Amino acid sequence: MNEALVFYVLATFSIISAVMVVFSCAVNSVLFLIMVFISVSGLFLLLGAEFLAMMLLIIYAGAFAVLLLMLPLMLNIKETYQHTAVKCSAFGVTVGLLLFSCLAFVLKVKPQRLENDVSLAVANNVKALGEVLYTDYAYLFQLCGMVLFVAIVGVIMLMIRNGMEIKEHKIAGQIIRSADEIELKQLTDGEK
Amino acid sequence: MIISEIIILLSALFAASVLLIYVERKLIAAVRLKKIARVYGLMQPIADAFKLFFNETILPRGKTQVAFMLLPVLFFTSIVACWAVIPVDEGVVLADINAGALFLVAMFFLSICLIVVIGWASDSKYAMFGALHSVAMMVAYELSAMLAIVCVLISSGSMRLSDIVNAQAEMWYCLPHFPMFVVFFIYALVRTNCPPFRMSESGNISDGEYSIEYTSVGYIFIAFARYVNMLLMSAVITVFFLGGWLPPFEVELFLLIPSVIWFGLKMSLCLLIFIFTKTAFPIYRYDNLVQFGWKMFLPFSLVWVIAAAGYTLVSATGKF
Repeated sequence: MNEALVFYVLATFSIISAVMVVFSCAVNSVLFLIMVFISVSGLFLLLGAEFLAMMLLIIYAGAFAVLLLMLPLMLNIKETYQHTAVKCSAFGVTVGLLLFSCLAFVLKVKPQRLENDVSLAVANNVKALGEVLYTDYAYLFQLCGMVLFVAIVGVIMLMIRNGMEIKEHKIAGQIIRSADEIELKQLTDGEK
Repeated sequence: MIISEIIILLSALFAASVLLIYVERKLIAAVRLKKIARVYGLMQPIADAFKLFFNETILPRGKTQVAFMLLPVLFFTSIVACWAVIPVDEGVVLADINAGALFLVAMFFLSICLIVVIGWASDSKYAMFGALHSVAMMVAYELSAMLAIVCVLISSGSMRLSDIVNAQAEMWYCLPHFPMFVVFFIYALVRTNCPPFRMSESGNISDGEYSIEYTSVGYIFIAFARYVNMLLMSAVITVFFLGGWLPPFEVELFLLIPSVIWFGLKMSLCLLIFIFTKTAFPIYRYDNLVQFGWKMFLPFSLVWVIAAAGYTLVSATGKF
């Protein structure tokens, strides 16, 4: 009874904030996104998947959301944002339907497999996930790592600007003095 | 039942942070040879509290008013929530969850996120720049600190904080993982805004810190959150690296002392070092510190994680 109540509260909360992500502007939508993450991690906690819940909070609500928050603050996006959301609605609906059909397909075709994984996860989260990840899905896991690595290298490549003057402190250059630049003066009493 | 425990925890934190404010002022005055107010300086915190309570509350005019009023409370909550998983003694903990270490990390990240939002909600560019400075600073050291926690998790083989403490019965992790201990300590200094890393208040670099627009009760919440954060970071260091409630040696005399007192002693040692760092060190230049975090600490801690994992694997399986 209690758990069901918590579930329904969290679920409605996450759906409402997910809708508000689309229909509010710039910073507010990012804040609603953080609310979605937090309530979904609550749902994970209800399932007994502590590891997933905490990871969701760390990676999405923590690292990812900070970056997303910086975007509207830096780019100074104003009300146009909402306009584009309406304009791109056809594209959004298509992607949403695709994802939903993927989910339905997985649930329909491989329910057995899913049940096994979930029951593993209930026993001991981290250990179960590690055992599945590093045995059955080892190659996929490695592939994910490679993709992320390429992304890091890509970002570094984007930031390197050849030919542009990079502004940096050259402390040695700033404080070095040669002998002929310095002039010794004998001050008279009035100048002191 | 749980409500009364939470109330006990909150009042203990309140008392501890008030004491911490007093001790910090006394120590800084002693180090800098300053005179303190009469009655051993006891009246000054009370006067400060009165002044803050009767300050005028100033709110931003824009759309962010509600967020501006809510955020200090949320910030305070995100820091106090960490205390739920910290074991002070064997079994003396609000919630000894399986993924305790992960919960701590998640809350650290959330509080960073909230700092950006505070900067935004203040609706002033000085607060915004202060928030960005603080966040850039914290993120630079965050990853290496997380890797330090990963090292401890590898060695202890558990994410439950009480298991981590019990795994240190033979040797505290500050000895085998000494470099990681240093890394985590410096991260704690960054999070508590201690002067070598006090970017947010170093006048000539940024024009203020993220809490610059707050007055009165809002400021009280943020200031208290800082002191609770100092207590929290010292408790986290104690749990991860200094053996929690365990005495340093298994000597009869040491075992006589209750283990809560050991926990308190270790925490106060950390706090003392925080305060002395506050008084003793100058503020470094901003870009140097961020570069130091990204270019020195991160690669070093990555190498250390690999080494620790390799050592644990070899000693567990006996194969090379």
